Amino acid sequence: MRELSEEIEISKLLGSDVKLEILALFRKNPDLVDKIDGVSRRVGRDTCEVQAEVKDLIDLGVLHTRTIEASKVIYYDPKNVANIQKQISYDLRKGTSE
Amino acid sequence: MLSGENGPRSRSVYNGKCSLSDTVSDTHVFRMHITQTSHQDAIDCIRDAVKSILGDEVLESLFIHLETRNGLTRDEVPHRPDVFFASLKEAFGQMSGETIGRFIIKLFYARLGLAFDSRSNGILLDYVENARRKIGL
Repeated sequence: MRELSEEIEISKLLGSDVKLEILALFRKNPDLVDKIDGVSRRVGRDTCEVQAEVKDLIDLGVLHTRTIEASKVIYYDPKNVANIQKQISYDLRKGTSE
Repeated sequence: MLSGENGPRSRSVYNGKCSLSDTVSDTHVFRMHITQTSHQDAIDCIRDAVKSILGDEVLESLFIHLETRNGLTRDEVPHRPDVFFASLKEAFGQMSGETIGRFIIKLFYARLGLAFDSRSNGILLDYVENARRKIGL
């Protein structure tokens, strides 16, 4: 399995259609705070399917969870995502000037 | 009736509005227009898809990567989808390259008003060929 960098296991970030849909959703709505079933509805997927993929995105620091009034919600971390994008960008350019 | 001038070709000759060569020329221009439009659509879809998941900086780095490592400029991508998809897999890994490619194709199908059947699990180039057939390229 390809790793673009030592820090980012790229398939954990981009390895499924659902992950890309979740990423696109939160990039378009960076202030979105929603429960897992809300996110699932927004991307038009089953909650179980989304739950598994969200776990990887939480592990990478793309998403975080917190509890609001006894409900667990998910939100986006643009700062962490910017760092990940910088790393991917660096890895893509690495060696291209050689 | 003149020999060899029946069927669709004869209509353009006999309707008095245009000659056979005009019809051929118009068809060529129309086809060129479709080709250019869909090629621009393809480039726009790549740009929009990658930007929507990874942002501008990664998009630019990807284009630099494609050109430097794979000799593929952004304008050439619609003409060489095989190289493009292989390059995505080389850049992001087999699994992620495949999903990014599928994400781009879904956007391309939506832009062309074509139905995308994700259940078919086809290979990326099959989707491109299918789109070409449907829009008559």
